[in-house]
Amino acid sequence: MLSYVIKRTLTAVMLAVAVASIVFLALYLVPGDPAEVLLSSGGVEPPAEAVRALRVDLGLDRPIFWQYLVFLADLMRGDLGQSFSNGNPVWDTIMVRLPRTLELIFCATIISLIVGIPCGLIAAIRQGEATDRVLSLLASVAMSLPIFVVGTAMVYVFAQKFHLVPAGGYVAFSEDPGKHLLLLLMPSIAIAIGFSATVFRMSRATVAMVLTKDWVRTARSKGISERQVMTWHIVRNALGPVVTVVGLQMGNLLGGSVLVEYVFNWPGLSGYLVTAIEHRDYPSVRGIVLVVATLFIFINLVVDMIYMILDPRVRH
Amino acid sequence: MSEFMKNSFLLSRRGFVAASGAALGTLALPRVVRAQDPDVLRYALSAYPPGLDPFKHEGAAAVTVKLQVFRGLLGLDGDGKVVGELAEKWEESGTGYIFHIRENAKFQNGEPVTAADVIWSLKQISREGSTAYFVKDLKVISKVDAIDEKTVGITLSDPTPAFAKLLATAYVPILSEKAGMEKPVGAGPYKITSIEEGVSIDLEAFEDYYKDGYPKIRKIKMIAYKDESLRVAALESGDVDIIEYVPWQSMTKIEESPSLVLTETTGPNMIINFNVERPPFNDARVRQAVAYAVKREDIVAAAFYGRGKPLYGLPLDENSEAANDKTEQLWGYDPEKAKALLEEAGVVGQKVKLLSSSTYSMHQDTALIVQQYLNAVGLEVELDLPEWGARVEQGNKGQYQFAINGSSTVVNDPDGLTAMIGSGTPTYKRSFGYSNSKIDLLLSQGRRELDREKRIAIYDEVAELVQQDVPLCSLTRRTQGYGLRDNVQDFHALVGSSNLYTGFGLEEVTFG
Repeated sequence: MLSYVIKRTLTAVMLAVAVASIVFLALYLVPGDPAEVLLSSGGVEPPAEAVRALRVDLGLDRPIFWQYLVFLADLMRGDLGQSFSNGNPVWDTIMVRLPRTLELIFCATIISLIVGIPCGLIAAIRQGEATDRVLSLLASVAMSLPIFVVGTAMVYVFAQKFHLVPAGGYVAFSEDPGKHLLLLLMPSIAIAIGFSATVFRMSRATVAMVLTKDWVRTARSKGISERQVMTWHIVRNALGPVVTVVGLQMGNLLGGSVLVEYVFNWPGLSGYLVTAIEHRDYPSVRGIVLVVATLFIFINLVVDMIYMILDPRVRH
Repeated sequence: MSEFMKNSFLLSRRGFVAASGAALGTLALPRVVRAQDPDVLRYALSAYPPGLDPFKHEGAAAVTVKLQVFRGLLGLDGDGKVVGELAEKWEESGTGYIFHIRENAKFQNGEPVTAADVIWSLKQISREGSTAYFVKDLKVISKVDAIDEKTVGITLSDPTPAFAKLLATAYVPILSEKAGMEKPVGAGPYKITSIEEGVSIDLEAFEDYYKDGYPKIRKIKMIAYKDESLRVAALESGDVDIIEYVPWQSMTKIEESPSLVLTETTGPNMIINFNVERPPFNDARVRQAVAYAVKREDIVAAAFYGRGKPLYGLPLDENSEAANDKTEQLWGYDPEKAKALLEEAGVVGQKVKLLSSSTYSMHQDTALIVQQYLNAVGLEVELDLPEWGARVEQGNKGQYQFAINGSSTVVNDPDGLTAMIGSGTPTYKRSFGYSNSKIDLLLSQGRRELDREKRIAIYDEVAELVQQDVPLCSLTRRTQGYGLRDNVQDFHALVGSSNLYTGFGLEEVTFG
């Protein structure tokens, strides 16, 4: 098992370097000169001297290959470089932004699991009955609702109409824990609406399948309590695919929570990525993509590990 | 199966109900949290400032923040008039200026503001390798010297009527030489106390600010709301007291709300630029046809929800000294004339591509209406709507036939036209390849003419040439709106080009 983990980790590192190189080169194909874009924000005319000076400051006057070597050398030292916009180390900004996105993803995932798995179970057990039909219908609706519609509607109803919550934003946990959690709740729910529907459908399908298996009938006929059958024979066997889907979805959210972050003004990593692209802040874009890719690879690794725990066959 | 339902399943449902109950319970918390603190002004920025370099241009949101921390020799009052800031008074005589620094002007590190700091700060802008926004504009300074500790003499190489206006912007702050550039220290009314990256910037009053009794409100919390609808929602739900860049579609809603106030002024203009190196817009008749073909009133109505004014003249500020009938009425809506001009040029039915940007709805919507009107007079217009960064690049490189553009001058001075219609380095702000020696000559005279009457006459002449040659086609003066909670008082939005510097007045704002 250890050699498997090491092998997977090495592949992951190589993958990350490949991603970094592709992103590095792809950015140069995007039109828009960083110095020009940075100095003309808001539609002003930047003086040509300033643009030239900034290009030199940012090292953009060097040949691309040289810039690439510098980038790789920095990367080997664990240095993601400095933001073109404000000169801050990219790593520092990512370390501020990433936990906020992770927090959002975890909160949304927990809500989705709490809602999705039990509902999936009920629906599978009561297959074809009214409960199942209502739940399945709700899930279809939830899945097809675009997140920005849900988000905007939530802001309208809860913030603008009833003044229950602030209209999005962020307060550090250390500053005001209550408000922090309150602000976290809205975007988490917005993500969880679609996410829990996915979890629901996956668990419904797998539980329904497992329910028909012989070993379940055997377990019941042996007189094991229904609760034990449920926990050890049904749920455990049904969870594998659910874990995979949840893992993939969490990975997607790392770079894909941008709409939610935008609608709720949640200052996470995705929003930072979009701003960085708008500003042609190459080091920031590279840094974020690299970190997201690494995390994605890591989540997949963890999913495989959980698989091993759930399914002894994979272990051997 | 019912046995099973009783056991594990109901438990988890109960758990679920309890969890959702707890979640709903937290919804009841906020009212307490949202009580307003009369010591804090909450200002919603339209973006989180990408940086806070005192001399660089980094967008409107950054300007608002920097104006609280840094101040220059001169500033603007609530009417947009140039007034002394760190300089108590100043004397102008041709190319010579003498600034008297206030006795009580102090930097936020406690050091007094001296002539040496002024000289050092100006040097930072013009030094080799400077990325300052005014690196070129301040080249006109030929000599700066300290007359005594509190008096600075500045000599210009040419008479420049706009010079004082340049100093009264956010781009020529005076910084403490002692503190240096590593951590620049200014002499503004507020100090930055904490920064939540990507979220907000907290400011607190600087006790030794030169203006006694100011700032009125002890703290400002600047919070970035990039999404315009959310910015409006934050104002409506009482999360913030002032929002900038009210989207045009929300202006009526704010106006009609009993607890909110809309402050509206004219801001930048919308124009069309031409690539005059490529047909068909290398022909002045085709450019003229465009100028006569578009009904500006419809752009105001459709792209700006009726907020703004049609513009058939030079793209100057509404209250510019050069704005008069001769410079404001160059073209009119005359589709017959436009058709005739196109026929004369032999381009009827020709396909042309109009560059705009999908990043800003005002740019995109303006393009749509221009497209309709030009199709109506016999051109076949296709739209090219890349994202903003790409659009700027295409503009700089002349990769377009004609393009929608926003335009405003750096300061409210007619010399701002040089950046739009004078010859110079190609930028997306200029019509690509356009050069007219007669206009250039007049612009350089206008830049140096100190006599007001003579200066206005020069720009009247420029207007005549623009009418014939159409280096650009003006479309509208759009409005800029600020939304306020109704208890916010003494907030003055500045007009036109000065709108960007509205942050000067935040120190005067009070809660009624």
